[in-house]
Amino acid sequence: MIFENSQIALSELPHVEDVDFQRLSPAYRNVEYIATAIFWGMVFFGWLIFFATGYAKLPILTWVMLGLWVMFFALSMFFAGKRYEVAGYALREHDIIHKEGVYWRSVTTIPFNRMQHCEISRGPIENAFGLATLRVFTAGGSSSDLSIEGLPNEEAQRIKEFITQKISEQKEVL
Amino acid sequence: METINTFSQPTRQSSIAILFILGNVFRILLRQLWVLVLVVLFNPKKQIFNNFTLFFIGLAAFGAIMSIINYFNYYFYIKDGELVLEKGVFRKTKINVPLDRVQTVNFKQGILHQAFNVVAVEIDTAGSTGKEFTLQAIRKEKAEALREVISSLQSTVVSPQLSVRSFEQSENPEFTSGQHSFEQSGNPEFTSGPQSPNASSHIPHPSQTLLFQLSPLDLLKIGVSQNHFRTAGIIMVFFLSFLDDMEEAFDFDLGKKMEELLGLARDADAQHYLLIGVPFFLIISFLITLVNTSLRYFNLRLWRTESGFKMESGLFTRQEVSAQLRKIQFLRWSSSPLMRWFNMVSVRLQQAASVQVSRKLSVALPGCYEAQVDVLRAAYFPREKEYPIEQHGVNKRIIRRQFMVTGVFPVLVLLLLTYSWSDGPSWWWLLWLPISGWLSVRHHRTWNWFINDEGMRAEWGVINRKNVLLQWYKVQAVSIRQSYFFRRTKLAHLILHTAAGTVQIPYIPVEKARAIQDFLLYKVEIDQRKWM
Repeated sequence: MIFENSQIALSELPHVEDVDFQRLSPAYRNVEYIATAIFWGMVFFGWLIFFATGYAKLPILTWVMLGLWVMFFALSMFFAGKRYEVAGYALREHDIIHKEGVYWRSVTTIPFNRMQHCEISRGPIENAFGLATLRVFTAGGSSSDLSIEGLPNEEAQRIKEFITQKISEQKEVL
Repeated sequence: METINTFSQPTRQSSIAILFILGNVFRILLRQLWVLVLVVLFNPKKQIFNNFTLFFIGLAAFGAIMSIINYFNYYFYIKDGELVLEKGVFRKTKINVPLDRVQTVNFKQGILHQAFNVVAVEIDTAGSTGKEFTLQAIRKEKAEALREVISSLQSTVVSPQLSVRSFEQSENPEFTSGQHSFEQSGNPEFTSGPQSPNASSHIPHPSQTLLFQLSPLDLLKIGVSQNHFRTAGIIMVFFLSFLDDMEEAFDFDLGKKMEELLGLARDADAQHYLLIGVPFFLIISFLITLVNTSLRYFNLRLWRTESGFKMESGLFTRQEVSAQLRKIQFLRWSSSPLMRWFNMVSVRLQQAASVQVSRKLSVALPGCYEAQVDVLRAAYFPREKEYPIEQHGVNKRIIRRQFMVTGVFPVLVLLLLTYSWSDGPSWWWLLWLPISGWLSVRHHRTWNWFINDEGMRAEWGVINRKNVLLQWYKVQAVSIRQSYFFRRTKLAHLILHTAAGTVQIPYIPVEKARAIQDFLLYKVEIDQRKWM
């Protein structure tokens, strides 16, 4: 209630845009490359089968498909590299900010007093590079949940502990 | 205070519940095996018939025994501030739900329930796992007592918040005195300790005021103004999947039949059938929606209860849903052209709930008048009109997107689909383009949003007018989204996530989006109220 009447100087509010975003681990770029390559490798395998069985009556079609594959593969690899360049995160006193996306760029902020819990997950490729994904959960559904991929494992653990502590502090206040 | 002790011991459901459990088991069996049953009934080979009958009788007997055992192993009770459910024979399950996680306690009463004076109880928690408590049948008085116990124990636990929210609860002076502030929230002792009788004795018996009752005429208006095309679609899908199952069961070639039918449709005769058939089909869907809505919303009544709202409706199945004011995340109301003609609006109180049950459990008024909307708005957002409200629109670029999505793209698809027709593509589709263009321009004009210190309201839509009302402190996360072109033109979508869904303000200048983001984060982070 105390804050209700105090005048708020809008210009003095902390700006999300002004924070210094932490970069992800450079190894994340490799994770993205490998994951993308595996996906398109599987597509290529499909194309090979298609080609080898002679299913396609028109040889041109298979070559067109190969051309498309090369194009998409190159584009995906480009985007995979870009994802690392763009992504970043920042912790402030009251919230966590995550920036991601190459074409569609989004900046999402979740205050600690609206978080339910957070956890760390590690996929096989991430594991090989010593990386982890931090997930932050809010109440009621998945639309507002946040996941930060490509954090160094120790970093992820540290942030998780920090957030868990913040959440329990908030619960005491409430 | 007996109410509190009533559920401290493990309690079984009413014995009528066996009937419902049995019914459920058979329904599941039938749903899985109905094709088989059909085949058995109509199959000329009588030998298989005998074996299958035995099999079915065995299955039915097994189901019946399981239901009865299940009933005797199904307990619920309230202990240490938690609602506990124990069930299972071979695989015992125990579910604990902290009472302050309970979002809603709803009742449902089918004809059978009514005959035995029992209700089914659904208790929802706001987890994303969708853990939901259901009791098939317990006596009505008992169910009401259960709900009262839950809400009274809940308010004991959350009362520290009530002093903060005193301006909303001012009709209840006991709450504002701040005498509950000594309680530590979440401490299980309070649910059975000496303080709790003291605290809950301050809660008067739920006083309810009737806000709104649907008259038969209103019901008719609502039935008429429903979306009949949706019913038509559902009937189509149902019919097609039914045909599909039949096809499997009887080895009947649908594809061939369809080809024949389509081939016939080329003839003038068949076109006559289509001319009669389509309106007939639409009339059938119209009637089905009308009957369905009338049954569902028969004698709908909306109450203002002490803690929020309660809605009761239905002819054969009486459904009762409730929404605590505190748990309402935001308000949505909308009106179709027909509803506007009747001066009616449909309202939905968006509550925090697990994904699977959120639609089912939110209090949704299918139709009411402006006066009721105002009451709901004032209850959810008492200070909506207290501050100078700034009005904003959205950027003109939304017209282009709207035109692409609703105009150009569908027309292209339709042209391509009809391309192979013998007399070439049907160019009549192009007539849709100017209509869609006009609608897109109107869409931009109708998009308005308003903000004040405590929250926002947005309104948009040409055919269906939609409204959203949201208080800042309900927001759980904020996103600003920009595509490549948005970054060049300095535009952004602002997305506000709440526990009951998202609210989006599209196509606004990015500085504005950032200013709102910063301000609203400040408001959320400084707010001590419980938001759900």
